[in-house]
Amino acid sequence: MNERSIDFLKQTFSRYYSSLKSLWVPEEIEKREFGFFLGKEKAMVRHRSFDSAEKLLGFLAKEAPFDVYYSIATYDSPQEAMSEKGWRGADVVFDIDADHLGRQCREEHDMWVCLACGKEGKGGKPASCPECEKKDFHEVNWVCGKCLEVAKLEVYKLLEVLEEDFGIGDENVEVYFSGHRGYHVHVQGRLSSIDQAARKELVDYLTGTGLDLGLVGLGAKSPGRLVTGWGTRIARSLYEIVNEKGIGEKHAGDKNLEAKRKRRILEGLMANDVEALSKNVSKKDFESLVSLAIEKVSVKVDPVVTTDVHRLFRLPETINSKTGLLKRRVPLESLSSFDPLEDAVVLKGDPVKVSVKRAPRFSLSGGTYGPYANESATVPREVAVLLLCKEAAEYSG
Amino acid sequence: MSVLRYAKYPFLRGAAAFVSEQVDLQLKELGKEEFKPVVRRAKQRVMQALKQRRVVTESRELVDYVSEVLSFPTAVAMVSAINDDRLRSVYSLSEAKAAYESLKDEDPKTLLAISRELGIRAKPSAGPARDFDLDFEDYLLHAARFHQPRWKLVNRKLDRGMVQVTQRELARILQEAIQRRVYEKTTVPLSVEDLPESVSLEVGELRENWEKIKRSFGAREAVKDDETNRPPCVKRMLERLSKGEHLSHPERFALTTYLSNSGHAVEEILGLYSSSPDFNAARTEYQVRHLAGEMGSRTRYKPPKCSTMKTQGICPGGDDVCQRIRHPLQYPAAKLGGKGG
Ligand code: SF4
Ligand SMILES: [Zn+2]
Ligand SMILES: [Zn+2]
Repeated sequence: MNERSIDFLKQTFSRYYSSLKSLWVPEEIEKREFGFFLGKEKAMVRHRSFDSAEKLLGFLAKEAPFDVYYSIATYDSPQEAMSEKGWRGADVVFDIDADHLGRQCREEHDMWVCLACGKEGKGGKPASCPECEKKDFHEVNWVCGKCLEVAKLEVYKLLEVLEEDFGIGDENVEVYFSGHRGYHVHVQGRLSSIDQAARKELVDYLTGTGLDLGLVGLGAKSPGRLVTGWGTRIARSLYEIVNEKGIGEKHAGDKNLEAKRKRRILEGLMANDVEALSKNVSKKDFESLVSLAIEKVSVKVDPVVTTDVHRLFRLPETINSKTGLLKRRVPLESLSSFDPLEDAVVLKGDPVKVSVKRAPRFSLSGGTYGPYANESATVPREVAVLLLCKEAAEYSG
Repeated sequence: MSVLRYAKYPFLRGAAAFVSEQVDLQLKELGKEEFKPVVRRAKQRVMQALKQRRVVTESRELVDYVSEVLSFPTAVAMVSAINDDRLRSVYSLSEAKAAYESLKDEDPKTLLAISRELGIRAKPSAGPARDFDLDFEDYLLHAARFHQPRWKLVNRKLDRGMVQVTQRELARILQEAIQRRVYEKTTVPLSVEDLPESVSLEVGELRENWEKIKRSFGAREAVKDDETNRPPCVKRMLERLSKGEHLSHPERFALTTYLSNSGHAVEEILGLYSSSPDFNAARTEYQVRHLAGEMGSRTRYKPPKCSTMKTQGICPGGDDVCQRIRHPLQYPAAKLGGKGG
């Protein structure tokens, strides 16, 4: 990114922060560590602390950082080096990132170019170049509405498990769009004292890691009634799969018998009983149905991020320099209609000129743009910001 | 709670209060003739911990319940004075195990009262009679380190924040909480000079016994790491490094701590990283020395347990040897046929 582009972004960010009258800050702000990227490609400035929202907001307006982070932990002395900080506790925050979820739409908007031979292709980059076997690529990765819907689906799964299994209801949970590819789910008030080992157990529960089929009632010998939280979840998932797709025919042609058989299986599953299902399909099919059911209900939270009790997270209501979008709180009642590519756009303004290297067709704030390849374009400010943040373009006045 | 219960569970706060109503015992007075039985029983508690790894209370000791209750804080004082972390663990575990033996058959009301006193939120189960529902936060606090699959939260019945446990399991969790409490009590600094002479003589004798026993189960020689005895996770990370691939932070942490705990010098470890694509000599050196305990807090960090490595995606799936261990550092010894350290 060249100087002019950086200046343009800094100016735009600064104007945004100066226009704010108040800023969201975490509880006990004076016990948190803050970190900033003050420019692209610069090292993170860490171990900063602020004792009020006003001071932090003043800093943001003056420095216009590219990214703003705060520690989910509270410390006695947040400005000291890590070993001297004095850890007190940490909020529990779950990270859901579309990047870790299988997405077919990547073929539509992502691409790579081999730096050695110039070969290019669609979708995620390969392990090594099919042409020359080298491993260095230039990547162009975008997010689209579909990516973000996939991530939102995981949020719904997470909220359900938190409420039903953990008793952590909506009133104790806040959902944020991360400003880029996913969502952060913050748990309020509870759990801040649990340590890394306990957090790992939480994450393993959500992702289904370490699940012992024998212990949930799916033992190899005679699968019967499913117990445990996960057992119930698997049974419910199996119900949905069978209900939707059915399970191959046995009494070919006899619709009546088939319907009866399916009903018996579903009734069993409704009562957490898999016996009827297991007797009606081959062992191999049963096993693959169970793995599919598990895959469907496991919640894809990022295990490393969520178990790290020193982690810095992006500060809500600040700009994400990967996109220029805001990390924005999404009230649960509007989660279903929340559209990040519309509702998290805050840097709107008059058209500006940019020269674009390369960008797929994309949508933002109701408009559709691109595809571009080595051309100049005049686009609304928020679109220019996105292109610059993605390093797909330079500002040209 | 009845007096007899305090003799069985002397670590309860109520026990201390109850005793101070009966006798006003100060450390200085422990030398007095009338407290001889207390000192004798206290010493026995510690000896039982050393020799049998469990404190045993005979019913005849319950007759003199005041001495029995008093012997507990006295034993704690003796352990504090010896001032050795390993002894603290051994002793607190032995007291906790003794409590477990009673708790597993205790009547449910008492069990719940003791849970409450230990800060553990439990109630009779909404499910099967005789089971209990336990707040998941308390469950995690104490059971997150139990490694059998049945203790993993993912394999439990969890409903609206409550984990269903049997009486035996609840007692086992209380054992953890009790061990923590007893351990903490023994960390109160106390020097031998604060004790009357007759008692400090006993402490001296206990200390000698302890030193002898400690030597007998002493430090097992660490097996030095080489190509033949590395766990699959470490092997894979080294291979990737040598191919010039990037290792994530958790991976570097795991690899560095593994190597520094299995006989590699900092310089050797640094050499490995120098081929890495994003090698920054100064920063890497700082990190490695820090993890190896040569800087900062001076603690040498240990690699994560296998289960953590699995969660973090570092474990490539273990081999047969891995079946017998739960920590990568146990691998070399397990491979040699031992049981692991
Ligand atoms: S089981 Fe443990 S030692 Fe074995 S490969 Fe996995 S993490 Fe390494
Ligand atoms: Zn190539
Ligand atoms: Zn997409």
